[in-house]
Amino acid sequence: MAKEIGRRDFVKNMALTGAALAGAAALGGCSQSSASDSSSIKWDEETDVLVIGSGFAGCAAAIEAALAGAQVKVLEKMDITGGNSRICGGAMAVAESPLQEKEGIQDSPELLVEDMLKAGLGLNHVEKVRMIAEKSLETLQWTMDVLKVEWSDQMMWPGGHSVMRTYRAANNSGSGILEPALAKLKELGVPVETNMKMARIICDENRRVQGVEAIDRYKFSSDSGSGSRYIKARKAVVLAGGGFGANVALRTTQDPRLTEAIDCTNHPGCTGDALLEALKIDALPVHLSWIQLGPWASPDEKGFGLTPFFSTLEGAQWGIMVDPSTGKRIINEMGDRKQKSDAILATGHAAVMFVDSVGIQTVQEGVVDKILNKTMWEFDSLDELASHFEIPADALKQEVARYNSFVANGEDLDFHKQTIKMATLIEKPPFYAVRLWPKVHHCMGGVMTDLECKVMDFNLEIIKGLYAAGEIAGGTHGACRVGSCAILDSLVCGRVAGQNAAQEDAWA
Amino acid sequence: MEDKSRDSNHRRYPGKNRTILIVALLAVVLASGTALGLVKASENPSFCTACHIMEPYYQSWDNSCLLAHVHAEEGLTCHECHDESLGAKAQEGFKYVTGDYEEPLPQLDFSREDCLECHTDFEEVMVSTDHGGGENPHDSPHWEDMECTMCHSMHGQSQVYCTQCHDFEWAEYLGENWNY
Repeated sequence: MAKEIGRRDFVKNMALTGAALAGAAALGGCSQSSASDSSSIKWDEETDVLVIGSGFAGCAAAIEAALAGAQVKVLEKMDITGGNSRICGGAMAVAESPLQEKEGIQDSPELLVEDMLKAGLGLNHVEKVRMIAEKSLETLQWTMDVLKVEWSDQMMWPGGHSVMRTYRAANNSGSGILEPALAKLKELGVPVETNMKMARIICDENRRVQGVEAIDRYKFSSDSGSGSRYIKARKAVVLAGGGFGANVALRTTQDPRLTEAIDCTNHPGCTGDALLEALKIDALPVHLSWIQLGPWASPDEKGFGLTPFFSTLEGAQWGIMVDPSTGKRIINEMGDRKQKSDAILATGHAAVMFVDSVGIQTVQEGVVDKILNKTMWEFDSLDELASHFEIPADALKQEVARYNSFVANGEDLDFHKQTIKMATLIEKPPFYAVRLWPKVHHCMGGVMTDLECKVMDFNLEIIKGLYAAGEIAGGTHGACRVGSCAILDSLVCGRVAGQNAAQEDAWA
Repeated sequence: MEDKSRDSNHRRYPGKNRTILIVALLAVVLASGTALGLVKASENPSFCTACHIMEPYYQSWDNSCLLAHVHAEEGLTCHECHDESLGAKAQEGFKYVTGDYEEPLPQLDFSREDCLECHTDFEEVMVSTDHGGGENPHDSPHWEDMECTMCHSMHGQSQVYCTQCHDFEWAEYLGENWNY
């Protein structure tokens, strides 16, 4: 019943470790400065395509590679598959979608590109953005036809998008996309091994990636395992290990402001281990210091929590966000994450977002019940609300009146809220309010990849046999990722990486 | 004649053969008896503490707030979960005697299927932890078949995995063997 390493395995592992140490001494990674001799490595197992990470990008890569006829294996370092993909909100932006057509919403891949570049302050790698936007519709179709994902028939409108275009998994969680992807992998006979951490990428003297050294039976909680396993990847290794938002030591080297005093919405294993291993073999880093904060997070609960189900969407759309010290709005509530986070941080304290009894009706069923009196409070008047959060009451009432005049006139003269024409007056009690303080959410930076998702080195040349997709790949989102574009990025690039990895010539 | 001579040859060293046979038989009986005795004795959890490294695991079963003791109170012993073969047990004993072991022992992996061998009705488990408001740890939107050991630990503190991101009131009322 219990799985334990027998003495024979133990001795074998020790022998392999010895051989590996000898090999490692000769190898020292793949950087050009070190000698390379991977011929001394005794591989424990082999496959065509080895995928590191079992989130959206990893699953998409593995599925496409397997469908192309390659033998595929997926390694996951954590106890459970999926990483952030499993716990996220399951939202994906799609341009020119069937739901948009049904709603009569005019959209195009070009407009999605425009929105992503605007939020990303133009730092985005434009061609990659364009590829993602142009493949958004076919990727949505793929999730439905191949994965059998069930999407909600109601779109949502996260900040930073100029039109409503975001699909949401029917169960409101990334698991609604991930579980069907894992089921597809099972159907295709692709093994997904948990508790296997990639410790090193192995390549030959020509820097052709040959496989990885993995720590078997790895336990994240103790950062230890039972020895090394050497896995040969005849065709390619696909890195899909996610970002490093949960690694405080690493993230503060890139952005010293993001200390442990700032909470994080990521799962604890989001520590950038695969990214660091790629850098060790001279993968070119891009935008590592651009780390996104989620402005819709509540300081009154841990991690991502439940409050964003209000504050990312209806709270922003139907309500306003004020600085409690002045009672004034501070930003377009439907702005992108960077605009909003910067505005809140500039005040030095949590912002207060509130809607009235009309706005609260638009919030998805069940959300308010879960957060009321925990992170959300109900007030019979604006005076009560002001008193609770120590907001100057008169200033607050004046600001609400000013905002209501914008609603009435259909134009937000202060912050140009793009949904102002849909908004309703904030006037009917009770009022519902939350506090918001940003939390680390997404790493825009990662390794440099080309349009085929091949990893590039410091000479801007391809590292043969190495691919990357998802949050581990940098540059796509520039200075700020627009909400619901990460799943799109991960699925599009994961599929591209998997398709191309399967076509690589095998080195052995 | 030939037969006779053969008979006489057989009779030539009868005492020596018989002694060897008896010693061998005695050895087999003794070894079998010892093995059987050890097997029988090992059914008693306190036997496990013959290896000092097992003491904390035994204590967690015998007298603790941990899940192993909850199972003990239901009359379950070590072998209900640790049902290794005789060969594996002998190997463990050999490893202990020769000092070929890690301390503390590496954590063993038990699958969801292992737990469900006894806790057969998972629906019942789900219903028992339905606190309303969609806060049921056994019916999360994020997982379909989560491993039980993600939260439950037999010989150590259990940890509510969901509370990394969510504050659940019910978590505050869990026993002292829980971290949340």
